Amino acid sequence: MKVLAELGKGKSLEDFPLIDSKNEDWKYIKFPEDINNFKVSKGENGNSSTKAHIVIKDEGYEVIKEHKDFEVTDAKSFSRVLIEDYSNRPVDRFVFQQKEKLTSGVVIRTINSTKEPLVIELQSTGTNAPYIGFIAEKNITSSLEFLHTDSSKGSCYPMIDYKLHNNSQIDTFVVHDTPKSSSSITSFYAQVEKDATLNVHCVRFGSSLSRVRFDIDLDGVGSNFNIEGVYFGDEDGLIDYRVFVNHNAKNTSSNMLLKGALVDESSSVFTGTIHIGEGAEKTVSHQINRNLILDKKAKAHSVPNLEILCDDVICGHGSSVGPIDEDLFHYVMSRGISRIEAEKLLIDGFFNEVLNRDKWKTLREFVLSNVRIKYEKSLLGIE
Amino acid sequence: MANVDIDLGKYSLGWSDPEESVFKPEKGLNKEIIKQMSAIKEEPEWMLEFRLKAYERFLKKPLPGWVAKEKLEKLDFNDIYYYIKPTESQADSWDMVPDAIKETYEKLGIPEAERSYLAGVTAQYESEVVYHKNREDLEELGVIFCDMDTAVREYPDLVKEYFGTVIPPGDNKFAALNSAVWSGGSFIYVPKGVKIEDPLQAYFRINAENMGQFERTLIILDEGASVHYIEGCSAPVYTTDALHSAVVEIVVKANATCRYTTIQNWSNDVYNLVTKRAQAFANATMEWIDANIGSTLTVKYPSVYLMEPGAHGEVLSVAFANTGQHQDTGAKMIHVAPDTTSLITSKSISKGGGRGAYRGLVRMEDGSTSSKSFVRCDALILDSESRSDTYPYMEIEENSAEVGHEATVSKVGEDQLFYLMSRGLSEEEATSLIVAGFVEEFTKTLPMEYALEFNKLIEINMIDAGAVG
Repeated sequence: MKVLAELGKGKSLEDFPLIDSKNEDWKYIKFPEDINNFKVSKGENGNSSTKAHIVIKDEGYEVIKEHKDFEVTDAKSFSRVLIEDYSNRPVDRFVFQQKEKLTSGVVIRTINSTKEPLVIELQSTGTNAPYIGFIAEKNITSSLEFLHTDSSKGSCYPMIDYKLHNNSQIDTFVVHDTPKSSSSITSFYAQVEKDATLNVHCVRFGSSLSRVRFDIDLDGVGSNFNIEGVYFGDEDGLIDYRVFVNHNAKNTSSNMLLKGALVDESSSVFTGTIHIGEGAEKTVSHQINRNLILDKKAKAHSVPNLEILCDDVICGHGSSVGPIDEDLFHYVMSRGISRIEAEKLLIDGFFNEVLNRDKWKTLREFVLSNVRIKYEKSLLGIE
Repeated sequence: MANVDIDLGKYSLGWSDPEESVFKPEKGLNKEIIKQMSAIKEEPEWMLEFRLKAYERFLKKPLPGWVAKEKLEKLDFNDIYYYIKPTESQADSWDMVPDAIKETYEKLGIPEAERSYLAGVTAQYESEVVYHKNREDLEELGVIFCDMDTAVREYPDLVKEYFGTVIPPGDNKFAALNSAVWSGGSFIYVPKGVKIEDPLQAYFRINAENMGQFERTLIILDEGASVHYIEGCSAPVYTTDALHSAVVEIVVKANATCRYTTIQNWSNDVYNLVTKRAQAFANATMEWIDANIGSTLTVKYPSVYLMEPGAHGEVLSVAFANTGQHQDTGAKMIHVAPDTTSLITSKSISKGGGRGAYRGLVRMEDGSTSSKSFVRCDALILDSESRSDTYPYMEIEENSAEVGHEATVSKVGEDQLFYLMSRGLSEEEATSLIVAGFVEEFTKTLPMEYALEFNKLIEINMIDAGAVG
């Protein structure tokens, strides 16, 4: 396949060291036992969502309905090179396997600017490793939505490449709400050219493992990357975010705000690195990760890193892990509200910092009602 | 390196005396050298065994792969002297110290300092302590303050009980190396309820080419005791690499307070790979105050294990990474017990292509209920060639624990420079002043003569590199 030809070229699986929990990138999580040599398998696919345009299955994909503003091509017959230089896309044993074991490949290209998102539903019953390539052409504004829902029961290991050409703007929504039996590990890479903007809005409700690694190259002057996310872990679910942003040009910006709450025995991992390369002056970058731990056995690990190789930048990061502040409880409860109701309100308030933002209008109610359901379920579990 | 061109009149700590050592074994390390070393020191059998076991661990342990890989790989462990005995026997009065060594300390100002301010001096010169004198009133209180070798001979039970318990020999490659070949360092025991008001102090220097220095310090504070220990390092300038790999273990028992201050100013070719760890018990306080200005590579993360309720740990660290330097410093706080608190404040300055990194860990173990920790890192980058990194690890296994981290990276503000320069300061002076203000939080904790020396070191670093490179 031409699109991925340059990635890990000339290497074989033996060239990559085995993944173990000592490996920095796989630390803190319980990954599938067969991670060092997973097998793809096929199961029965479920019904797809009515809003889906494309459904990715255990084997291959299906275009359910056309979207006039996007061109969808099978990756095998796509003749252009999507990413010219893969040297910054990290390839470890897992990514190499994803590439070698692809179960489907699709390349999506924007034709016109549009507000209506192209919806891609990722299903899995067995184990699949789909490739999704995305090209945002010059000056185009559009959006994509990735849906992982009930039909994603097995293991889904998507590999995603984005190329944003000059002055394009893409909003990507990720809605991840799958059964506990499922696990997903996504490797996401983006190259953002001059004045282009990539926005990612993520909702994650814990499956047994929901992991995504973002590697973002801000290559063009004035390019931007923003990621906002909310997550809620329950039962023994694990939510794992790795966000690596490379500022390679002047006047670039990145902004990250990830907020999560954890109940039961769930856990979350955040590791992120803001790397500001030599010559990337006038860069502005912020990185914030906040975790609420609501149950005795819930855990959070947070590792927000900075690597700064030039001087004229504004860069800051913050991270916190802890229960809800007792002062807040006191304030709300002194108004005659019970502790549990107060906790619900405070959780809503915690997430509203993200959910009240413009782009979240369509997702806000979905997130809040789901959080409520999961929170109440967790209360029942304890009593 | 920039320091070669320093005006010695200004930088009075940069010189070296001709070597005059009594015993000097071959470079490199093997079991025979360790046995020989142990025999010369007339050590008990258990210490020799401890050394030999540690040596095996050292051989097995790999170099850490996550920090300064290229620099560490250049380090040739076979090109280092592991033990040099400076004089036949230890001097118990200043008059008995050999002249060459004495002159060195005259330059460092130790005799004056001792007379006026200091509680006691353990001056380390080429591996082993050559001069040591306790203030008499401390002895009356039952405080033991001597070099580690003496402690092994004279207080074997006390040493054996704690030695290697806070930092086991297999902790990491460099701790294993130190455990195998340690020599010199301080031993302090403060009995129950004894509070030492004046700081205790030791000076360490490396003064033989290609010589590693492996001091071992053990501080034990019994219940309710308190001490402030200051370790100042200054080394003459050499062109080939030297290795300094110390181990510092501290036990702070219930209600005791310990402050350990380090000013590290090794010459810019020294590898400074140090393991420092303390255990703080109920309501005890442990503070590491740590400044790193010299060395080519410093890898040092002072840590506190908060073992019992109410324990408090603090690290205040300042790092200055100048041309050719990599300062990889930070802190670790491991909260094991409920109601423990910790605070980490890190200030780093990178200049002339130097690399400053904060690497730290806050870990809340399951059961460390209602514990709190806060980490603050500020970095100043003074030019576009330099680099500043922040790697704060937070591992939270306890739901009622609160952990926060904030970091900022910035350059010296144009408006601040403009303000000072409009008052007639040159750009260099203005920057120097701003940097001194940036680290003031640290300087304030130091006794006067250290604060003066520290400010001078900052000034030298700011102006020297500007002139040379």
